[in-house]
Amino acid sequence: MKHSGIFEWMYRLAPVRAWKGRLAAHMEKCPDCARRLAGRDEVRRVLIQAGDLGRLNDIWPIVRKAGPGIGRDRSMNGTVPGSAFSGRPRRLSLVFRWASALSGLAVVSFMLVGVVRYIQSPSPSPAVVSNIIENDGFILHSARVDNRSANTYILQSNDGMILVWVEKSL
Amino acid sequence: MDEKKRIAACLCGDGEEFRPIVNQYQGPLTALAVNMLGNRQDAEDVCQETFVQAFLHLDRYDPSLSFRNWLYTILYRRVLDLIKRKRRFRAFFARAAADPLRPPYTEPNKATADPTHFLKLLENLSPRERLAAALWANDGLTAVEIAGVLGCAASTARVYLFNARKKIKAELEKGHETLGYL
Repeated sequence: MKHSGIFEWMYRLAPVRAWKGRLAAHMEKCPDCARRLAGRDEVRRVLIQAGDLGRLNDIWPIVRKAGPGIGRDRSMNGTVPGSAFSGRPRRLSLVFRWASALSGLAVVSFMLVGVVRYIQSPSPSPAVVSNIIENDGFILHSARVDNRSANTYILQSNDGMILVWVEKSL
Repeated sequence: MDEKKRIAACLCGDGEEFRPIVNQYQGPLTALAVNMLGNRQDAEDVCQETFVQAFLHLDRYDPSLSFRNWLYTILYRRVLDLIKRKRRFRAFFARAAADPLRPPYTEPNKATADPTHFLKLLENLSPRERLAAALWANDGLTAVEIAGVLGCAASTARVYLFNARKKIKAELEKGHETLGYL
């Protein structure tokens, strides 16, 4: 695969715009990669230029009428709809994006750790269970069925009830 | 007279000094709006609103920045507002059409309502991608300057521009070069 293909593939997979931006910066400069992008002349050909519009209406009377007092909204502290100052500040948006990405990553890693621990955890052996119960004052040294040592399971429910399950070992 | 001096004169109360500014930028702003909206009528309305906003809030302009880019930023916001309004309008009429108590809504004939035959090529591009492409190709702005207009990081602007160029190239290779407009 050509390196331009590899870069495009990486660009598609990059999860963060900042990474995509870095890859795009390379692809714009590299002659091999830039061949896959429309050049300035090609883009200009499909766009409308100011000269294509012909004669435009004189909008000055409307503008003049609408704004007899320049800067009359100086006292306004809020944002003006449609002005250059409306919209969310860039820094906040950046922080929000990073915060959401990090929290998403934390949730995914927490779930992965949970799954791995669940898979790796051994089934409770009687000895382990009896040790737990031993701390609460219940001691089970051994259990025998038909004169042979048996598997034992001791369970304690939330309300304090203790269940002892003895199973004949095969 | 220099553009900055004209703005200073406007701020001192000589509103007539804004007229040459309107004449200078009306064409580029309308072209940019047409490229973003694909509709000349809407583009002219948005352009007019942009100049009104700029005239009203001229005192908020930072002279250390480019005045042209400031106007582009206002225009961009107005275009996004218009797109949102139109989306709400269409959603409202879609609901109205589904209501059996109301007469069904008929979509206006596009051929008569909108004489502009917008390039099929740009239909696949988002408004931000169109803006990035237009500012880059028509006005020669860099990714950093485009980011200033869009209010985003330079890398984000570069991504919009990259996507736009890639999509246009793909469409051109498909053979959509014969489409006309206006």
